[in-house]
Amino acid sequence: MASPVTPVRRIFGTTVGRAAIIGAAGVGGLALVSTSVFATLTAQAFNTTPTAVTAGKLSLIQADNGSGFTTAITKMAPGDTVNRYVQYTNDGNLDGQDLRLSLADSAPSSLTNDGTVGLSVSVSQCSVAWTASTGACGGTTTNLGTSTALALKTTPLALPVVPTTPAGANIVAGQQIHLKFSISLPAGSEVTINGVEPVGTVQGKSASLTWTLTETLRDATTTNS
Amino acid sequence: MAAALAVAIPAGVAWAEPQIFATTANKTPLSISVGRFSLAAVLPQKSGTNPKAPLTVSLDASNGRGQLFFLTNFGDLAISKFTMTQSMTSSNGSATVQTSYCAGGNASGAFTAIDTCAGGGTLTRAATGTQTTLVTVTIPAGDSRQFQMVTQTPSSGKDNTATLSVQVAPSGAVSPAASNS
Repeated sequence: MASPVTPVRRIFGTTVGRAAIIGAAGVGGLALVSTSVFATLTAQAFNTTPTAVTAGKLSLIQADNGSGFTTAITKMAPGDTVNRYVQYTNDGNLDGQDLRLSLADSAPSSLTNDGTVGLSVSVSQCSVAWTASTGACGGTTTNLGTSTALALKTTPLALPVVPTTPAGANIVAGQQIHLKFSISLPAGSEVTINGVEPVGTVQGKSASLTWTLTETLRDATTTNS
Repeated sequence: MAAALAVAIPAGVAWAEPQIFATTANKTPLSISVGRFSLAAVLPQKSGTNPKAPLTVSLDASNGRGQLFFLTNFGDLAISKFTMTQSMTSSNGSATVQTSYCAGGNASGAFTAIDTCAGGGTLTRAATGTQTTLVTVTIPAGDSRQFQMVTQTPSSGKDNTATLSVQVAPSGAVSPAASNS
């Protein structure tokens, strides 16, 4: 004979089983819902040909025109001026500006340590190449500046080469600059009397000069294209 | 979490854009040397040590009419002109002393004897008595040029002492440096 409580137990058992199934389904559903919320759909676009970006190059080179800075100047006398010709080229592909001249002497003497009796230099530009043997300029001559050797060792001389425009970028890529350096030794009071040189004489003195030209990169630009 | 970067900029200091330079220089330094010009009177040899002093000649009127001497260029630059200063004292009277050289000819200004030029040169007066004069005579570097100093009152019994100084200014030196090259 069956126990009177058996159906109740069955009912209870069934209810509990269904609840467990429903709960599991609920958790699974929530999990599915949560996963769907955080999923991202993306779309991409890119250039099939890479954008090429290259940095430009700023370069300055020099070449003697005639004796230039290569051939020594010997037995210079006070009062003499020796002209030497050098050609500079903005050899890079970027424009430049603000050309400056400085000087170093590896064997300093009063020639470069004395601003009065020592060497001085004047720089001028010809719009075309100088004729070194005669000093002739077949184009337009522009005086760029004058300084003493003493000053050049510490204070570079600005050389406002032509053309002066466009401002901030007047030394265009590939431009050649034809310069004349007039190196002078002042006559001063160099008088020898009965074979005696004056006190502080520059006679017999020497120098070993390195001339450095510096150009600055053109002004920075922002372009739209 | 956001990160914060703070940069303190002192008041009055402006931002400087970094600058890019290109330089060029002569690889071998340019050598410059200055020559020397140094002229002095020497006696009696043609060359010799630089006396670094004026030349003093005693012309004894009773013993000799004159004296030959040289102006030597002790420098390494040719000299094309110089200043000659002659002064004199006389112990007995005021006899005059003259300094001369031989111009032209083919003997580089040499004398064969007092008052006699070699090689067809012409005796040329440079200074008389106490006088400063500019003499235009070229004396190559390391070379000498002959001169004479004579009294104009020979055999008079008067003694004359003459002092000769020479000086060279830069304009009198000849530089071999080409002005354009």
